[in-house]
Parts: sequence; structure tokens; C-alpha cells
Amino acid sequence: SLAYFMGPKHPMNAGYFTPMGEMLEEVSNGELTVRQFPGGALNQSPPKQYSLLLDGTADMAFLLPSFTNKLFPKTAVIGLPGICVDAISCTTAINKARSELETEYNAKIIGLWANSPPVLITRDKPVRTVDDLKGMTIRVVDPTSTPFLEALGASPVALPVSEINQALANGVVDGVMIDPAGIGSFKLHEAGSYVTTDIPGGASSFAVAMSAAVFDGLSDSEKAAVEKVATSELSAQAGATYAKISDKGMALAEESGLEIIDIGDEERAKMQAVIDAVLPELLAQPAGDKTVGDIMTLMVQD
Amino acid sequence: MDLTTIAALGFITLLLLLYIRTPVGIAMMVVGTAGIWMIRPQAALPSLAREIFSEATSYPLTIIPLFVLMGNLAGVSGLSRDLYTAAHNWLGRFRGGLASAAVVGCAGFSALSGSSLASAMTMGRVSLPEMRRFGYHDGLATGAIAAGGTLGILIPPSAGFVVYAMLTEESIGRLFMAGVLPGLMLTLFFIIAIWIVVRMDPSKAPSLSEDVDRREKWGSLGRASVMVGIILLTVGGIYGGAFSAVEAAGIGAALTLVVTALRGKCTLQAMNEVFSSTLRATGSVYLILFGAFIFKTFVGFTSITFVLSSWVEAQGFTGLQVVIAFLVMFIILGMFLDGFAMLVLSIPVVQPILEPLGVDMILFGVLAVIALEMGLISPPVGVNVFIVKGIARDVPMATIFLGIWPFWFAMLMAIVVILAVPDIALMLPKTMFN
Amino acid sequence: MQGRSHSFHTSAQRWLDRLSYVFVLVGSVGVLLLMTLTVVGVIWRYILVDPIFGLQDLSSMTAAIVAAAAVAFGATQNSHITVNIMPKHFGRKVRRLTDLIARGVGVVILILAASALIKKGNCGLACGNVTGNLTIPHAPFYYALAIALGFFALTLLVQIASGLVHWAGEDPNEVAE
Ligand code: NA
Ligand code: NA
Repeated sequence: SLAYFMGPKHPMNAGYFTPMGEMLEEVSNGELTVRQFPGGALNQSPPKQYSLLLDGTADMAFLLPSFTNKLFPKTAVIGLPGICVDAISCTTAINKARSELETEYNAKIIGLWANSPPVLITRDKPVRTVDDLKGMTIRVVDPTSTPFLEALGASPVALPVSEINQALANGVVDGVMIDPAGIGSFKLHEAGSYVTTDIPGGASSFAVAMSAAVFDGLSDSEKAAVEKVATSELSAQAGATYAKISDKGMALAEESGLEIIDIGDEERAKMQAVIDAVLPELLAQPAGDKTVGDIMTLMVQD
Repeated sequence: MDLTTIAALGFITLLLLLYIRTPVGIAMMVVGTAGIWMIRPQAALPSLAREIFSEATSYPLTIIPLFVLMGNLAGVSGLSRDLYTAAHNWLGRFRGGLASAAVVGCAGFSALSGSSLASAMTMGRVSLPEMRRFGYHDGLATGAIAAGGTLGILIPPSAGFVVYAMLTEESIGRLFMAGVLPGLMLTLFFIIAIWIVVRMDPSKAPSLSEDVDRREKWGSLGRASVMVGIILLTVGGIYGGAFSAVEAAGIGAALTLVVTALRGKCTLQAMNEVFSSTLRATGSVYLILFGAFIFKTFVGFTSITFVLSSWVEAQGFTGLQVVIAFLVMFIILGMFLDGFAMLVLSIPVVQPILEPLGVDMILFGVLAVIALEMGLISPPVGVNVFIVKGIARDVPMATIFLGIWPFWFAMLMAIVVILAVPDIALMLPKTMFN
Repeated sequence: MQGRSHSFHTSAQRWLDRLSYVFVLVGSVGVLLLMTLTVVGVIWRYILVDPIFGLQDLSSMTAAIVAAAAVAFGATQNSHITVNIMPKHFGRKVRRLTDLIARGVGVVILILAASALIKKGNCGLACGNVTGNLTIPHAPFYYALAIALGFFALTLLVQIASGLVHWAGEDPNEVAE
């Protein structure tokens, strides 16, 4: 029996957690059962989740590595721009590097997926060209995008998601970068007026992991069952679920009368030039025992 | 032992521990940790440490020491006294006006203080002697203060809302805004209750206080406007989105500190008293939350809420029916239990049942807080009544409890009206930041 | 007998009072710091139109110190919330016994909590015990909370001892009604 936690309202219930539990039970012939603890057994503090595994509170946990990039520098690479275009391709990309990423967890990764790269939501000033970004204060998803925005002349700031609606509404920031899946949850379709789809940013990662101690204690047949689930299509399905939520977010923005801005090929090329100028330095930086570039190469390989 | 049995055992043990006067926070820590240990031994102590640390380092919770400090400073700086004086000068010459002034004073003080006890205590000290001087009936006088004091946790800032917000993961700012209009409405209901009582028995408010001259009236209003200004800035700032609830508390505390210093009230002795009592109040909220979260984790481990929520669903009850059932339960439990204890004990179970039914947890928060206020003044255990009794030692407890009833019904009316027109609570949070 | 018990109670109490004063000082400075951090954050944001990066990390860690000091100080003041519904007619003997049980379970859980906090604090970076933005290590704040809860347990132990000494008379720590 495996204890396993999640928040009560999580949209990934049907997208991953429930099918994962059922599958594990099935392939282990009932030797392994997952007991979910719905109803918010623990509150949703993302950094807390990894410690649940380490201290033995849970056998399995839902991790949000992007919240603690410093702890998981290899996984953080998915936050770089240009690796992928939507939750489906980002999930594919992150899974290509999976065995390398797994080395930075003191746990067995069972599911690994990513959301869609962010869009930029502004309130007073539409961003139609690269130059429009100059001088704007923009909330970034995580520090990975910071050097790119600085190179574009914007001032990036970090803000917890709980505050972005208010910050956008009262002009503390001019724009908010966020996965379109978050538009509805944080009522950004009420606070913002424009959505620019091209902005240098990458995906955030999500993982379901089993404590290493628990995994090591399983019998060989049980381990094989876990491995089977880990390598199944479930992660890809989770990515697809995220892609759907992102599409819904964009649709909501459009229905609410926000202008969706595509900056066009010419501007896109300009933006890419700025990104390409910044990228080499980042790629040379260390990510655990490898470099950021090594990991990125794994993620974009065929 | 199956999980439901463990859950039931946990609740019974908790009530027993509370009964023998174990501090609420400690009792919940004991039951929560022991309960988790029975279900999953290796999770017990790590969960205990994790929950304590995560509440202690919670950024939203920094609002507690900040606004408690603000309220205490308002007391020593004379700001709260100014407010009562203004209410007294303007309302005193109406029949029953001193009781209304006490209620209005409590409402004003509530906007600076998060605690019902502090409101009742502070306003009681200034207004009770005044009412007795003019021959007001003891029951009316003490009832008005005990009831007025309960506005402390409905009108923002409110420790009750902060605790509720932490447990339900709702926004503190939205809950604060949701409390504003119901708080004003309840103040009005209290005044109407006083009017009806005096109308039915004029001997309860026999004499009118002497009318003060125009200049004195406006002068007192001017002095009170300092405090009103701070209130409007903090509440308006949250509503307009200029700053978060935590920031509003920080700014409010800083401004009140400046006013206290300007008035030359920052003596070493006064500051010692202000900070000691700030820490006492802060400590008691933190200890309760430490316990509440480990207990909530235990409740989560038992899956009892899932069992209950499935049962409720199977019965086909509507959200409104279940809300009313819980409110009735709160009102009855509130007669015996401390309001905070009731909140932290019940919310982990109540929320997972209400949410699937589509109940707005902000609306429920407002209703629950009013129900909890009713408990603060109802016999046999009414904390606010004990506070008032402490100020008016010669008034028999029975007289105070008899004086409470008109106000108790005013609160019941408020609940009914808000259930019928939820927008009274929800309008402000819905229109925030615009 | 009366004299000895009196001196025990007062000398233990004097020590606790001295220690509690340290908590008041630390807690007061912490509350003022919290206020300053919050106000500076707002001013900075409006005047320089740039939120200070990681300010909330500083507030959170200060909050841990305030919470620790406040809980510890509250213990010496008997200000933690209890439910007073036990009928008075139960008499002193019963109350002595229930007080002993209530304080006893308190000591046990507080010592367990303090040791669990120390153990967690020791885990350090490997357990992700740093703040999200400024990477402030959590360990010192785990220890501060452990000290506060340990002190709370000590206060209860003194109350138990003094309750036993005064078993036949008035318990000086009896919660006032
Ligand atoms: Na209040
Ligand atoms: Na009561």
C-alpha cells in the first residue's frame, strides 16, 4: 500500500493521479495499491512536497520542481525558451532527458510532464513589437527567463502567483508571464487586456515520485510494475491534459474580449536574435554534474 | 482499527482534553500526532515538525502580530477613546444613545483590532461607567458592550478571518472585504435592538446625557478622524488593490505608532505593555494554528471527510441545507466551546463537505464568524460576557445574560438576511481592485 | 513545609520570568522588524516601481522568530486559549488531577515537537530547507522554534512541580476564572 497526497481541487486528478493508481494496481496484480488522500490532507505548499517523501510521511508525492529550481537544476532546464512549443511537446522533451534528471532526486520518478510555455498578459500597454517590451516591469514564471527579458530591455520580477492578479490590476507590474492554463484560475481575463503569445520563456515541470527508500524495499516484481507505469503513456497523457487546460485558458481570454497578439515573423526573428545572443553563456553554466547545455541537448534530441 | 473509528476516537479524545483545560493548541497537537501515528507511524513526528514550521514561517500570518500591534497602540495612544467620545457626543442625547454610542465605539475599535475580547474590554472600560452614571439598566449596558465587542472579528481586521483563511486557503484580503458590509449591518441591527428595548421599557435608559455644544461635537469628531483616516486608508487600500492585507496591517501599525509617538504616549512602560500583550495574543493564535494544522493533517489521513462528503452527497442535500445545518451546529457548539476552538476543530471537516456542493467558502466564512460571535455572548460559556463581568463585577451574571438576548437575535437576523441576500457579504470582494 | 514550597515556587518562577523577558525582547524586536519590512516593501514598490526581490523570505523568517518568542512568552503568562467548561463543583482534588494530566500530555507533545524540529532542521539543504528566493537556510529557525517549545515544556514542568508541592493548598498557577 502506498500513501499519496494531493490537494483537493487539483485538475490533474482525472488526468494522471487516478489512472496512475489504477494502472499500478493492475500491472502489479494487486500487490501494490495506491491510497490517495483527497480532501487536502496537506496544504498545497509546493516546496513541502519533496520533504514529504524524504521524511517518510508519504510513499509517493506530487512534486513541482520548478518551485525549487536551485534544488533541481537539471529539471530547471525545461524553463529555457525554444525547447518546445506546447504542453505536449514540452512533456516529450523533458522525458527525453528523464534518466539524466532522475539522478538529482533522492526518489524514483514515476510520472514527469510539463505545462505550456507562458504567454504575456498586459493591462494598459499592448506588446506588438520587441521594442514595446523596453522599460516594462514583467512578472516571470521563474528566474530562468530573467536574462532574456533583461536583454530585451524589460525589468523582470518574481511574484508568487497568488499576487499576480492584484499586481497587474494596480500597476505594480506592467505584464505577467504565465502558462495560459493559469488565466482562469487567477482571473487574469478580468485584470488584463492584451495577450502576447510570443515571449521568451519555457515550461514548468511536474513530477510524481516514489521515495527511494520505499522503492528499494519493493520486491523485484513490484519494482517491475512500478517501472512499467513509469515508462507508460501516462506522462504523455498528463501533458495532453495540461495542453487542453491551456487551450481553455486562451479561449477564455478571447471570449472575455482580450486582444490576442501575434507579433509576426519579422518581430519573432528579432526576438530570436536576442535570445541567441544570451543563450551561449547560460548553456555553459553547470547543472549538477553536467552543464545546462548538456541537458538541453538531451531534451531537444530526436 | 479502521480509519473512521480512529477519527471518531480522535474527536472524542480531543473533546476530553479540552474539557480538562488542556490549551486548545496543545490538545490538537496531541490528538493530531497520536492519530497520525496510529495510521502511519513514520509520518507522525515529521508531520508535526513540518506543520509547526510551515505555519510559523507563513507570510500571510505575519498579519496577526502587525494588526494586533496596531490595535494595542490605538489603545495607549487614546485613539480608541477619541472614537468613543465622538460617538458619545453625537449619539448621547438620543434615548438609549449611550448604549448605541458604545456599540458604534466598538464597531470603530473593531476596525483597528482583530479580537472581540479587546474590543469589549477597551470600550467596556470607557462606556460602562458612563452608562451607569446615567442610570442605564445593567443588562442593557453590559449586553451592548459584550455584543458590540463581537464586531471585532467580523469587521476587518479579524483574527477569526485570518485563521479561517489559513485553514481554507481562501484569500485574507477577500474575507476581510466580505466582513465590512455585514459588520456595518450588524452594528445597525444592534442599534435597532437597543431602540426596541428602550421603546418597550423606557426605564432601561431613563435619563439623557447633557447635550454638548456644537464646537465640542465637531472637535471630538476632528480628533476621532485621525483614527477614521487610518481605518479608511487600510481598508480602502485593500479594497482598491493598492496593497495586500498584510501590507495594510504593516502600514496601519506604523501609522498608529507614529500617532502614538506624536502624542507623547510612547513611554517605556506603555510600550512594554503594548508589546507584551501583542506577543501574548500572537502566541495564542500561533499555538492554535500549530495544533490546527497537525489536526487537519490527521483528519486528512483518516479520509473521514471523504466518507462524510460522500454520505451528504448520497442524501441529496442542497448546499443551503447543509450550510444551515452547520450554522445551527456552530451556534449550539458555540454555547460551550471557545470560538477559535470551534473554528479550527470543525473547518477541516466542514470545508471538504461544503466545497463539492458549490458553497462559496467566503460567504460561509462570514456566516460562520457571526455564528461564532453568537457563541461568544451566549450562556453558559460566553467569553465576552466574562470580560464584561470583569469590568462590572457587581452585576450578576444572570443579568448580563438576560441583557444579551436582544443582541443575540439581532445576530440571528443578520445571518438570515445574509443567507437571503449573499451579496451583502460578497459584493465588496467581487468588486475588489476595480 | 509551607515556607519551603513557597521558596521553590518563587525561585523557579523567578528564573522563568527572567527567561521570558528575553522572549519579550526578541519578540518585540521581531514585530518591529516585520512592520519595517512590510512598510519598506510598499514604499519601495510605489516609489521605485520595483518590488524588492525576496522581501517575503525575510518576513517569513522573521515571523518564525516572532512566533517562537510569542508562544514561549504566552506559556509563562498562561495566555494560551483553553476551554473553561469544567463545572466548579468538581472540587479541588479533581482539578489537581486533571491539571496534572493536561500539563503532563503538554510536556510530552512539546518535547516530541522540539526534538522533531531539531531533527528536521539538521537535514538542511538536502531536504530543500531553504527559502525560495534568497536561499536563506531554514535550520536556525527550526532551532528557534524548538527552543521555544522546549521552554514551554519547561514552564509546564515547573507548574507540575509547583502543583504537586501545593497539592493540598491553592495552586499558584490555577487558571483564573
Ligand atoms: Na476587527
Ligand atoms: Na457561549
